[in-house]
Amino acid sequence: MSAQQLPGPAIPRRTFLKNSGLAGAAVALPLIVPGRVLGRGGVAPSNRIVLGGIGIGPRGKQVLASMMAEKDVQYVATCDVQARMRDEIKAIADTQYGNRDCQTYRDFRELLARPDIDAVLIATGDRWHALGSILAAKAGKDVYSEKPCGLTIGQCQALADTIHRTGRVFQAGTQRRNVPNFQFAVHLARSGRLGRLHTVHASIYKLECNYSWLPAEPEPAKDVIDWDMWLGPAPWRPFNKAYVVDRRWRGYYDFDSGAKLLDWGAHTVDLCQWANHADDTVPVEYEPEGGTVYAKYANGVKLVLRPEGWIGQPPVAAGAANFAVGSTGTCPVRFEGDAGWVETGDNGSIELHPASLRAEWRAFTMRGTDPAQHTREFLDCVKTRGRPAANANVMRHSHIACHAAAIAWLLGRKVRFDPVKEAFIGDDEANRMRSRAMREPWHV
Amino acid sequence: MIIRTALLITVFLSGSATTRSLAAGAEPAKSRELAAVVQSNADVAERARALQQLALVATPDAIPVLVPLLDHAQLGQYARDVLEVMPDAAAADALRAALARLQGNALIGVVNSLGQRRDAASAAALARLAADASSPAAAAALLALGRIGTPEAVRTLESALAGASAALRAAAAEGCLLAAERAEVENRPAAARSLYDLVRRADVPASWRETATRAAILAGGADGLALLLAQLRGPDPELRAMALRTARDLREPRTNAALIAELDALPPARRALVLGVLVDRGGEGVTAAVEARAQSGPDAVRVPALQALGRVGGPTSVPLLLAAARDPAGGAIADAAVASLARIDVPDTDARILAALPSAAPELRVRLIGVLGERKAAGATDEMIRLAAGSDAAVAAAALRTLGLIATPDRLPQLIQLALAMTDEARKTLADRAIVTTAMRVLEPARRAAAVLDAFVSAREPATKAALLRPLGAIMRTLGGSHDVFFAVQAALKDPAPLVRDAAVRCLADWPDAAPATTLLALAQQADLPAAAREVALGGAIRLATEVAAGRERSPLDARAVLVEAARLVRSDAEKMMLVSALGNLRHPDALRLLRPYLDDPAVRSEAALAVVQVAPALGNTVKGGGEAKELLTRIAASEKDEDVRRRAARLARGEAPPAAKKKAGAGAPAVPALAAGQLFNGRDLFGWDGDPGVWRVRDGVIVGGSMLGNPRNEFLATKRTYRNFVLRLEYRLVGTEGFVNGGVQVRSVRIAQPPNEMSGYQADIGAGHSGCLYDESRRKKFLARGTDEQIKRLEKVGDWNRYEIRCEGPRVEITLNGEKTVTYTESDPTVVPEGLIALQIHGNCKAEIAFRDLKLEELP
Repeated sequence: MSAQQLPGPAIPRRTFLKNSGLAGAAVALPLIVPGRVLGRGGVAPSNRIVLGGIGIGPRGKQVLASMMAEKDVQYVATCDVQARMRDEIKAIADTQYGNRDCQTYRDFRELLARPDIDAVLIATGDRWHALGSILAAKAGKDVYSEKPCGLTIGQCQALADTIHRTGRVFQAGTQRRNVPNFQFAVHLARSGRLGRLHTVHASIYKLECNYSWLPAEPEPAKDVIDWDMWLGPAPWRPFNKAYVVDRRWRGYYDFDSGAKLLDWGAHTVDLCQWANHADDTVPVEYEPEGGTVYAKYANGVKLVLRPEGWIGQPPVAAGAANFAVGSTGTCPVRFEGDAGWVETGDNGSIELHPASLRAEWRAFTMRGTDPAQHTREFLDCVKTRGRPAANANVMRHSHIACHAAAIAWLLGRKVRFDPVKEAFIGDDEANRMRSRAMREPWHV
Repeated sequence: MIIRTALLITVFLSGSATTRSLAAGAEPAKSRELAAVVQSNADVAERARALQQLALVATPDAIPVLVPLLDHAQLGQYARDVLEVMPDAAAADALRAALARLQGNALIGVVNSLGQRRDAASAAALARLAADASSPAAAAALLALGRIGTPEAVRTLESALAGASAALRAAAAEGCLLAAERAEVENRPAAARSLYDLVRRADVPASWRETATRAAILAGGADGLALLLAQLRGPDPELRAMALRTARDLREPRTNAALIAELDALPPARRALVLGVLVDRGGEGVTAAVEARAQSGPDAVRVPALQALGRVGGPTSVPLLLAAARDPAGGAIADAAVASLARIDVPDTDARILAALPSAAPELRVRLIGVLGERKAAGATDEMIRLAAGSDAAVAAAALRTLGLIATPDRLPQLIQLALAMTDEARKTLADRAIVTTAMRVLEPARRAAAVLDAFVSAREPATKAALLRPLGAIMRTLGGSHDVFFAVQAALKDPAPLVRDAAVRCLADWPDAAPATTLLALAQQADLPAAAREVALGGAIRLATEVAAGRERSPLDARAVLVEAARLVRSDAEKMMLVSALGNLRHPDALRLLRPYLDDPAVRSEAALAVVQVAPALGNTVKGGGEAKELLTRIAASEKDEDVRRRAARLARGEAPPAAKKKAGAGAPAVPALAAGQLFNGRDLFGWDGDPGVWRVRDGVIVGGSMLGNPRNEFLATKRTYRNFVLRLEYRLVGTEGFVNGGVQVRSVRIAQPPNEMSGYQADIGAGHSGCLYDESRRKKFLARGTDEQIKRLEKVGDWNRYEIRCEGPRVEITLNGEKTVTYTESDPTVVPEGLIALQIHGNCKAEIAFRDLKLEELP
């Protein structure tokens, strides 16, 4: 009997989270977890999780909205290097709560120093995710961080190690772990319904890497835009407001992760890892060919990272759109076994073979970008101290797999990787790419 | 081998020839070339890029070029990066040598890099920095010493932990933990333990003491377990929280047993949290321990224990859950048990539930039958068929619902037999529904009607044939029309038995496409047809022609011809009403001609006036040229009772544009003052609302929409102002006989032009099995969130008054039906405007009437 483990409308959200064998999440016991039991410094008697936010932009607003919609959350502090964004997010919080209590910060260390804050949402640009999360965990906060969670293999290791050391709750913003159609596809793969799994496919952006600098512009006053803080641990370069105001930092080697591979890969490779029972390991070989990277796990399962060839996807014209969408929407994944296959994406639709596999699916669609269940799981774990689905160990391996694939593509050659040592085998150049020195004075 | 990174530089950097030539070659050569760029007068971007590439390939001969740059304001990090990742020992030597020379951030950077390299040779120099509280690099030095972790480094850390500076004590605590981890990796457990204990007792921020406690628990074996239990029992809430987190990671084999023992020793408020830990851990003893707490004890532990059995329960849990489901107090205990029975993954659970049915009290029996449905317990099919025919009506109804969930398509012949044997109308309906849902589980759409069609074609008894036409029609309405079935039903119109002919007429009148329209019209013309059948046939023909005329149904059918003919056949007021409202969709001068006589008919005068107003704009030329339209509009403008229709007619008679703008005006219009705050409906008339007065009216203080004679299309009664955050409470009652009996409540919606008369936005759905669900009308055209079928069936009082609460707050939309929340939805699309009209809907394609009362609006900030 497995049908009752499937996502579907039969179980309301919280109960679903608690009971889904797929979610692999901590059992939440929301009936009986008053904050007083934990007595976490700032949790008010009203049992609210006191939340702060760092670098809340377009995606951050969606995640924050999903958290603020929860009754047991109080958002009290927002930090941004840009005055405009500080004020905008404060206005959102103050409007919702009908007060003027949301404090604003330019330096996130002041926010982290507040003893009343239980948890932080980190939704800065990628360059800050790892260090921000690490410093938050050291300050005793639980962390929900947008993905990619680290710009290098080294950052991902340091983050996962810090979370393990400090015993804080960490959820990576790879919310598709908590979206039903993806869970169903993973269930088909993990349970053997596709037969012996042989290939998992992860969609990625068209890979590209930009090393150029935008022209220098005069730096604004620190309290308008704090450029030094915006750069943070990333290498120095001259100010240009497009990076900050227009958020045009994607694709730059210094600011983005692995030639854009992690923008989708952090989600899709993560789902492939899950489907392949590989949450504690990574593939051992990575071979680039054109815009595709072919990887292989020690158990023989192949992982294909590719921008094209998805069901219903029109051919991508050379030099055209960064990505194209297939009939299952953005961010598709595909799992193939010797008895069947399944492909699904963000619009919730599922393609599969044989058709009989669909009998287990109880139609319940939620868009792949919706973080509602993922944030709820995080909040439940903040209370119970459980481990959420996209915990630091899960993040560590799926992100390292992505980085290794990106390094293979950047080097233009096949690389081999030791999943235990987390080092490339016999490739000094690749190994040097595992980490980068943080700009002083920042460090992990 | 082509190096892509180097190639890309030619694209993005207007680099020099030197830079471009780096595509290939041995590392020392590349290293030299890049070092030359770094030393050159090239601009800072190009030198930075050269350093970035150098990081991958540098050989020790590049070091002299790098060292002078370590305190370069812009390139310092770039140069240090090369040294940090370079495997050669010479790089560490260079960094170490620079310690003496550097200051400020550059010094901190080099200290960090030496820490990353775990350069033991730097321990003494770092110790000197760490001892100097005035050095900006003191804290960084302590962390670096922690990474180095040699005995010498540890001595420095230990003394700093007792030092005067709070900031340095905190850094030393972290350093000690790093050093202790190193000691564990190097198999020096005693050294690690002593460091953890040191930090636990140190005067450092509580979070570091908690972290050290966690590490001591994880590293301590049996002692660690004892330490864990001490925290769980202890007074410090933060340490308790850390213990709960850590208990999930502890590998010590006796952990489960110890935690289980704590389950009865801890204060009750902490037990459920420990229970949660055990459930997450799984493994030895957990199921038995959870079972024990599920059987007795305080509800605060018993309820989560029962819930947890749905996940970790074993074979012995099933009888336990069945017993708890019988809990005399009912409530949370029984609910938790029933919910877990639906989920528990244990063989033979279905059989055990089946075996428990005879002895279960009637109410529980009904719930357990529902559980079998949730479990998709196909093995229960025979028993459900037996119970469906039994004497207890509630049990039979539950069994029929479960059959709809569990029966496999090969059981369709039995379900058909079951339905045919039913005498009770309610059971017959449920049995038909089970047939339809089971038929829908046939994988190939083309084969879904086959079983029922075969039974129909081979049936001899007229009663059987007639009865099968109901599920057959329902399958068609779900699936869309099929030629095979259409011809079979059409043939039945000539059946010798009146019973069969009558059922065939009804089946065709509800057909999902326009195929039977002319057949139905011809039937309506037959003099010998019984009056009831004639009415059904005519109604069906008019409905299908309306669909085609309104453009909602694509068909070669000549809707005008059908309606012209139908106009000759209408007799009763109800039929006239249908015809008149159909003509409102017919964009043809004939429409006005046919409507004219009805403007004098008191029964349908208002509806006819409205139809003229609706159809006149589509006949623009006629209006401008005076003629028939102008004359009719002038008459309506002068005599129609409804003010809105009168005004529209006057405007059209003057040749002005149709009042489409009026509907739009509603969206931005200011609040209507005549309604008090929180009042949406004044109880007397539709003041403040906007909708078709032929469809919406006030009766006995209740808003009523739609008609039992048929609703040709979706109709909405919308507020004239918009609302953003609010709680809307109301009661609704939906009664209907045929078609898609459905309505709804729009929130945050707008009127749209295409399809005509539609609205776009969230809809709290009502009826047709969708009550309590959130549909996105005209926008994403799908359910955004649904309650469960079981929940809807349980909650909704079909045909009676139901309480509805719709809460819109920020991105969240929540629906509560009769006191139970069915939907919580968070909007993730930032383009969706969280504000709009509230509107009441009656669905098209049904004979139904919807009523609303007690509308109350609480606006939220």
